[in-house]
Amino acid sequence: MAPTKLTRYRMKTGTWAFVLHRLAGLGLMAYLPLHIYVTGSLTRGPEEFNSVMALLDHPGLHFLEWGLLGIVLFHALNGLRLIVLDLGWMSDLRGQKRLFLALIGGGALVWLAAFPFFMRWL
Amino acid sequence: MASRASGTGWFIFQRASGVMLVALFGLHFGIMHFSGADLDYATVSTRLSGNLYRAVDLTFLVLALGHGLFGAWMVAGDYLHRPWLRLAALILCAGAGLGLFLLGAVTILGG
Repeated sequence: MAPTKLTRYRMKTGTWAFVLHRLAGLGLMAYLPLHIYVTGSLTRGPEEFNSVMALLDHPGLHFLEWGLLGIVLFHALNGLRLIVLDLGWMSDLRGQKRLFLALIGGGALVWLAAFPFFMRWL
Repeated sequence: MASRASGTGWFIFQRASGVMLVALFGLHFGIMHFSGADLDYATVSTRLSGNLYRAVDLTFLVLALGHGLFGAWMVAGDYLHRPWLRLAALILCAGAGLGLFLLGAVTILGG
């Protein structure tokens, strides 16, 4: 089989982290204008703002918001990992992998624990 | 300036703004989702009438836009090789940043 752009690279932990970090960042950047626009309804008075908030108070949207938290957590924790590596800490391959798994594991726990709060169950 | 030519200044900005954004996101999510505060006009506009909260929100806005748009421009630069396309991406990012900053600042200061 002829190599493609993806198979030509060795898709190991660091490569996946790089690709997912970029995709997460671009996703967050795509969401930010929407968030600024929706929050802008505050300047159009109480009726407008409260009706927009009532529209957004939907379980499906709460679930998507929880998904957004997951993207934020991944991008933030992986970004902190990059800073740790830039500083030369845990720079051996074993340390890098451990750090990645520890941050992703910790982030996943926070993400799961946040679920009932985002769904407005608590 | 050496840092401008080598991009070191932007590299440090991405790292420093990233760390500050982690803290600001924690604060934002904490207030919005874990404090139990209502998401209605009275609550939000009262919160935004405080100068400290306004300063924090403006900082959040500037850092998020700067970090996000610079990151997007860096990604675009990896795939766009023609100078005019890179310039177009830069103009698009700068224009979007300015427009979104104005929209966000009006909400924070006038909300």
